[in-house]
Amino acid sequence: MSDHPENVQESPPVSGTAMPILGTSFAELERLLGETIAPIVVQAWAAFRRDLPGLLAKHPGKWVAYSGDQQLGIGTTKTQLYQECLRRGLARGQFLVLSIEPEMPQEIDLPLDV
Amino acid sequence: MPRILRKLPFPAQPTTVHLPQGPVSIKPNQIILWVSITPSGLANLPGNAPRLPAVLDTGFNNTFLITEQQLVEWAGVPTQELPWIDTLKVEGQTLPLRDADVWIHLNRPGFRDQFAPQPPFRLELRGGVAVWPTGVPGGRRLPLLGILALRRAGLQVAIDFHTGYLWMRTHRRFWWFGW
Repeated sequence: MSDHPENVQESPPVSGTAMPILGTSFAELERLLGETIAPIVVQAWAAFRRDLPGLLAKHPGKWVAYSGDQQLGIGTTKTQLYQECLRRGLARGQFLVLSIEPEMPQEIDLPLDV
Repeated sequence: MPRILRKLPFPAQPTTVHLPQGPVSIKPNQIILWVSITPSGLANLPGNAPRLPAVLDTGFNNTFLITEQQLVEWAGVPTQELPWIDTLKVEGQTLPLRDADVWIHLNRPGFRDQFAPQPPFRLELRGGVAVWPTGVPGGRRLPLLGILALRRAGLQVAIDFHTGYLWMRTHRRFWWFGW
């Protein structure tokens, strides 16, 4: 895990319903999931999107961990970062580990049946 | 661990795999891998993690797709244990992507449903697995492993359509090592 978390910036708190994903608000997403998405996860997600251009420039292909608005570290494997976050006492659901790669269209094709 | 799957057959005839929940029919020419699914970041695959079949689908351009029912009943993982990380659009439906690791079980060469003694290979999925919610119509009969999962892991796959066998391995460092 990096000793020098990068691109840690303050940003306004993200409303649980303000940021659409694929045209779906978090409120709609929560209805779809049948569960509540913790604000700390929503904030982590937003912080990652905010920091992604800088991360892509410096750490493409690596993984980054966030808890809320705070970048916790960067690592070469997801498992390494997970283990480090758990060692720090964070519980699952209090942090996100995300891949540093360009955003791709999130629309896919599927076979009709298998 | 260079070799993951060795001489994995994909029969031209219908076959059946057996899960604790009952038999599952496999259609001719479907490439079936055995996988386990866990929350991300575990140090090792728990010994009691169930194995479930997944279709290696070269027409599926994402990582992994599974229905909520398959996730719970076959993989033994409650959906709530896999945190939401993103969203996918499929056939007009919005599907949640949940953070998870998929583990590919190594096969005994020449056999699809028998396993090598080595530990499974962990796929660290970038983007997680797409979970088709129970209340949303259209979920597929079997879980799908897509090209994006293999591409991001840098895996190499060889398929021999003459003999009906598949090989899968990690990126080779030394070209003179064979499959």
